[in-house]
Amino acid sequence: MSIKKYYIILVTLSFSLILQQAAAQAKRIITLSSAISETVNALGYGKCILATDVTSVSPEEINRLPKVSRNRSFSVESITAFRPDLILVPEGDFSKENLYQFKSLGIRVVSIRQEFSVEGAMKFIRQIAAAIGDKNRGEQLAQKTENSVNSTLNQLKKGNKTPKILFIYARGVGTMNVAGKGSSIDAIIKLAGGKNAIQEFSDFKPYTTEALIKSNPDIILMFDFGLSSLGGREAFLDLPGVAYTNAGKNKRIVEMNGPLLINFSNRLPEAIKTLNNRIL
Amino acid sequence: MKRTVIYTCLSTGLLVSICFSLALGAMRIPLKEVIDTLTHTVGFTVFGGTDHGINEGVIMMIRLPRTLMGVLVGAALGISGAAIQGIFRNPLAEPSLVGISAGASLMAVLIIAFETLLFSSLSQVMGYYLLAFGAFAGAGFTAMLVYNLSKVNGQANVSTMLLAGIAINAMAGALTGLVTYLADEQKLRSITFWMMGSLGGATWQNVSCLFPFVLIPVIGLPFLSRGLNLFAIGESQVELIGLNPNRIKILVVVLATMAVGASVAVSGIIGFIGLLIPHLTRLLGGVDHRFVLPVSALMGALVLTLADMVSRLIVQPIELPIGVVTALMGTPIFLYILIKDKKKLVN
Repeated sequence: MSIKKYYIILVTLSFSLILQQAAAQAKRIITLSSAISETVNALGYGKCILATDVTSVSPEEINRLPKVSRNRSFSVESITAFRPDLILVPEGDFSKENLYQFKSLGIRVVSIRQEFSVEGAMKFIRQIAAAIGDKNRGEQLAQKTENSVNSTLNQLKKGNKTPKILFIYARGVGTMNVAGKGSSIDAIIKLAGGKNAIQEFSDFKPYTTEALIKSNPDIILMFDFGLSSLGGREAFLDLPGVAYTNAGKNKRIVEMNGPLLINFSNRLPEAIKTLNNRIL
Repeated sequence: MKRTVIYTCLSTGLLVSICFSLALGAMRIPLKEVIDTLTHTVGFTVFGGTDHGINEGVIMMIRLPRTLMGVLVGAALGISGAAIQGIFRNPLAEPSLVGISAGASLMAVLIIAFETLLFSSLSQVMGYYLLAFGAFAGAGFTAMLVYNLSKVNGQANVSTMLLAGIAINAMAGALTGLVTYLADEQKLRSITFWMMGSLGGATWQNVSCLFPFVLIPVIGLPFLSRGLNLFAIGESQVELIGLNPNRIKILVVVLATMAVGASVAVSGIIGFIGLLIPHLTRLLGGVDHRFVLPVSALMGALVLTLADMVSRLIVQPIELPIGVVTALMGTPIFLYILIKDKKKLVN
């Protein structure tokens, strides 16, 4: 066998190996939640993301991508138009019909389950990495995040007493909801060294003035866009009932970036640290 | 003669809009490939190459079922609206105004919210059909309730009927609201879908499930047009000619709720089609039900196909809820008809 032939075989072999590698890994990804977009980006696959949903606003290069889903309203065809080979979607956001439609088009959809805890965040990262086909980086990122969470938790500021925190999700004065047990907010408040003022119900329920006064929070927590939707800090303090709470008396209204606060993925350490700094 | 022209125009319009609906969308697919894919499916080749990969999938699995669903739901809403206006002898009677749609959606919402608790054995047996049958049962129940409430001395009293419809609507709305408090986030999303209406979930499975529910009323209702024509003069006229007015009423209600209930089950509440289409039809060609019923079905199919195209194309890459489009297109036309009729009354 001549050297030339030998080289040709070698080159073909290595080429086919590269191709195989490429086939295993997703190259054209659509990510349909801010946490998923941020995690895919942190795994180093930000350049493979073709489009996202309306909540995926950070980092800036992700924010610039087209948004194909708005409050979970989307069209199968618009998503297909990007010719993705992988769609990452929060579990439950696609209906049975949608899943069936994508399946019949031969597009892989992976539903990602999110649990609001430190272990849940690590699982979230590993699920996404496995879906992309790069478990190694997933393991690295999960390890790194876990270490970072642990060191953050060790360095948390501690006050004399655990502050009672009420989270209000606001989209204007008419639509305000408070976070109960088991919600993402409940979990992050606990991790950051606070206590959720609402323990009577789970998930999110509409806000009432009396419930606000009864729960008497030390601090009221809101998303930044939530506070501005109510007309800012001063306007909020003037809302009925707010002045009767400890938070109102001491003007302790804390605002935080929404996607960061409920990310529960690679940015969990940053979220814990930021919230801890603001409430204690 | 005039009617032949109307039939021809509407049928051609429907065919053309179906073609456009298959050819337009977020994916840019050349018309040639659309024709290729369609002809290949029926068994012959026009332009040669048929392997268009994902484009073929989008046409066959997304656009075609969706377009067909639009045609079926539009026809169902149009013809039921016309028939119900006929028996109530009121141009305001409409599936959603007299509570039929609300009953259907309430039942659907209840099934979604309590599926795991109460209906699990039923849903194992009936599978996908459970929602359709449930919506149909809800629609039928409210229709009968409103009709019976509005009867005064054996005659349906129009204003009582409308008020009963409003009451039923309010009740169903309140119960739906109550259920949303009990439902978790995921179920809440399916419930919102029922309230907004959308053709986005169309698959071959639910289109074929919907098909018989629409086909039977579309074929059956026109047979009742002679009776409905006599209804317009008065119920006693129906009896004089030897027909049973109660049987006609019951048949109309059953067939109309069958079509509307099944439509609501697959596409949620799509407003205004049932109210507007019969008006447009009468505007075109008079009040004879032998004409109004079939043309309302055709026109309903045409208008809903167009509305769905608008909802898909206008704010790409996302889409508008189709109920928003039908209301935006429908309200001005409806007001125009009202004002025109008012002028006629004055003269």
